[in-house]
This record gives sequence, C-alpha cells and structure tokens, in this order.
Amino acid sequence: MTSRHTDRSTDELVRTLARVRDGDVAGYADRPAARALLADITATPPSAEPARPVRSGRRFPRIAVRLAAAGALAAAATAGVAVVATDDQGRPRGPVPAVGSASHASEILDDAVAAAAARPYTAPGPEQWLYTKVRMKGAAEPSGAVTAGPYETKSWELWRRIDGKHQYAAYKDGKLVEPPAGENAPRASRFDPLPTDPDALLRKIGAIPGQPDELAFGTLLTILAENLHPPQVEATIFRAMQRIPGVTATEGTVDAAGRPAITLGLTAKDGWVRQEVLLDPETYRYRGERSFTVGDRTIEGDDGDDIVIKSGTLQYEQVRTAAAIVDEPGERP
Amino acid sequence: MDDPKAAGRKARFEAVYTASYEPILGYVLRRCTSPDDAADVVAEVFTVAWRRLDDVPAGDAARLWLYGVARRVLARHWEKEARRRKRTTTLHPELRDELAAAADEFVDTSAVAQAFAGLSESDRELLRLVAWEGLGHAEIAAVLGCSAGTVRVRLHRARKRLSRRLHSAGFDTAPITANGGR
Repeated sequence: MTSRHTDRSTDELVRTLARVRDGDVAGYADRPAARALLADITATPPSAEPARPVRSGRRFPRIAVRLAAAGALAAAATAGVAVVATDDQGRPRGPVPAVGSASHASEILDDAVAAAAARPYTAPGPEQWLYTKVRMKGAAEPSGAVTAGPYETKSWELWRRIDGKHQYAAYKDGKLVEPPAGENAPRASRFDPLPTDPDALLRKIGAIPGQPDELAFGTLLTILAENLHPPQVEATIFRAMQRIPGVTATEGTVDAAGRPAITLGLTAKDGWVRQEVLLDPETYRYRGERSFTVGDRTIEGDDGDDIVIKSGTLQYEQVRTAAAIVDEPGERP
Repeated sequence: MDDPKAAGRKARFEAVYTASYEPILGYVLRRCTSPDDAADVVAEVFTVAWRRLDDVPAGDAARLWLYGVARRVLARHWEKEARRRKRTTTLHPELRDELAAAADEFVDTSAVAQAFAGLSESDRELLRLVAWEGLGHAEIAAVLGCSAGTVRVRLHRARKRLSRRLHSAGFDTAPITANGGR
C-alpha cells in the first residue's frame, strides 16, 4: 500500500530502510517450516499452558528449532548422508576435531577452485531431473542446543526438475511422500543466477566481502549442497569462501560413511559452535556438512537448572551420498 | 481430541495463522537482524495468539492485533536478548538459510538509516508502521491501542523530526531512487 499522506518523501525514505518487503516472503505460509510451527503450537492444549510461561525451560529455542527442523525436511531437498564417527551420545570419537589454519584453508580452496573449474560438465536439459540422496542427523527432540542426544537420522532421496517448474518427488526413509506444498524449488535457488564474481556472490547472499560471516558461510554450504553447479559457478563458490575471514581447513578427516575428507570450517563469533563442510579430498566435491560445539558452555534453562553442553557435541550433520542428473523422477543413477 | 469445540478452535486458529503468517513474518524480519531472533519472535507471537484466541478479533483486524502482539514480544525480546543469546546460536541451519535469504541486507549505514536511528523508538515505530506495513491512522491506532487522532498528531511530529535530522545530515527530503541512495 502506498502512503496516503502528504509527507510522502519521508515515508519513501523510511520505506527504503526495510530489509524485507512482504512480497519477499510471499508463499512462506505454505512452507514446511510454517506448517510445522502451526502443528507445534496447536499440539499444546491452550488451557494446558497457563500464565506460567512454559512447562519445560527453553521454550523459545525449542520452537525455533522445531521450525528449523521442518525447514530441513523441506529442504531435505538437499544433500547426502550421515557422517562423522560419533559415539552413541553423538560426540565425535576422540578429541574435538582439529580446527586447522586459515592459510591452509586458502591453499585448499585454491585447489578446490582449480578442481571445480576443470571438472567435466554437461549442462542438463530443462526437463531432466537432479537426483540427490542425503542423510541428515540432528536432535530428536526440539531444543535450542543439543546437549547430548538423542539424535534422529533421516534419509531423503529427491528429484527436482532442472527448469524448476515441477515439484520434486521425495522419498523419506524409503517411502514416497507428498512433496511439501509450495516447496517446488530448493532454497538456494532464490539466489539464481549465481554470479561468477566471488564478491558479487557474497553480496548477493547478504554478506560483506572480507567480513567474517558464519551465516554467509552456511548459505554457501547450502548452495553447494543443493545442486551440481557448472564449473565456473562452483569455482566461484569456493573463491567466495576464501574471502570469508576465519575459515580454516583440516585434512585427513573421515566422514561418517568412513570416507576420507577435507574439512573447511568457520567458528561462530562467540567461539562456541563450528560449522564445517566436508569435501572429497580428490575431487573437492561437496560430501556433507556438520556443526558441533568447540567449547563447554553452561546455559540456563527456564526452570533455573543449568544445562551443560560439552565441547565436541554434535549439533547437526548431513551427508550427500549421491547427486546426479537423471531423465525421469524416480530414476536412480 | 475429538472434541468438536477443540476442533473448531483449532480451525479458527489455522485460518488466522495462514492469513497472517506472512505479514507477521515480514514485520518481524524487518525489525530483527538475526534469523534466530526472528524465528523465536514469530513462534512466540503465534503461541500468544493460540493461548488468547478468544481475544483475537475477526477479519483483517486480526493482523493488526498480531502486529500489536509482535511489538510487545519484540520489546520483551530485546530486554531478554543478552540472556537468551548465550543459550542458542548458530544451531538452526535450515531456518537460518531461509531467513537469511529473505533478509539479505543486514547492515545499513546510509545517512537515511542514521537519521532514522537517531529518532526515539516510538517515532520510529510509527514511521515504520506507515512505510513498512503500509498502515493508515486508524489501523496504527488499533495496533498501538490509542486514538486515530493521537496517531495523526504523533506521526506528524515524527515526520518533522526525521526531516529535520535529514536536513542537518545534508539530505533533502525530495523523492529519491528506489534503493535509498545507498
């Protein structure tokens, strides 16, 4: 709606300050995250939730993560399979993974750029389908931070038509499920077409080149996970990672499927949670990602109890075990 | 569970939720810089609505009522932010991406943004409700719980204060380009 006031120019100026227009979130009510929140809220009888704010502490985080988990389902349109060698509490075996150095990361990323740019590539036809197989592991119970499991693993196979005009078919844990309404494109596709200049790419995803930004790093991982990009685009994604300060690398990592991997990661500003992408050490293809705590932290539950989250506690991980172009939905490479 | 009254209540909530989720999401995203914060606030707003469904007015007035709830939840949220921030960060990869994608300009250092930031919160919220949510006087009055006359007067003053700040920042309150001259 436009302003109905004479003082139009100040209103116009204020309007330019809005980061998001309502039109930008059109269709979000149909998204799985929104439907999951609705289900979450209405699952509680309103009378069972009296003035006392919440029954079990941490309401905000719980609901927020439920939202996130639902987004994950939709987006299970994503990637591959599980992952890190963890014990039954979800802690990585042995010490917390090494964090590595930034200069090492830059070298690794140089290699990744070269490998991506040299990768043989045949552009898929508009009516072909992108097939991905992913396993995701996260908290089985909604909660802000995973204290020590229990964890839940979900496997997804997804087919998305290249032209984006068709909803994907989705198999969850081996069963054909209704693709989530309104979710007819991967999340990262809103950034298409991806620029082939790394700074332009960073700006497009809301980052400022040269500034540490764990959100942007995570978005780049999603972009990698959800597609098989043309060589120049994939190389640009790696170049953009190189421009995010704080990204470090380690070699000799092993993913949960037991495959060797190279890991690039960024620890969040507050130094508590690290998110990492695992790449194939030969081809530098995306293999998966994970996030885990890198320091002990005590958080306060609303019931007043302290909750201790140990360093090295897995928060989330996913592995992509297959990604390929096929001719028909349902067809596996 | 098979209680028809409970089912009716749920159906009504679903209708309110579906109709107002996007405007509320927009409202909250425009006022939060972090997707984590935004997710928490949106969840809390609708949790309040579920609990107080009998108070939610019918029709489009529901949206205005929810803006009012969102305003109060946000205010409380900022108070508690420091405390909550230590609890949960970076743990919601999917929602993070979704919201980050929707809100891709986190920092605005333009002269307009600075002049705006210099106003009081109540001035800013009035101007936002006009420019961001596109509300008229009567609608703003419903959100803020005051009279339309009061809104008119306060809005007039808020605009004047903003123009004055813009002028002293060397800005003319003339029509400008779509991206705010960034």
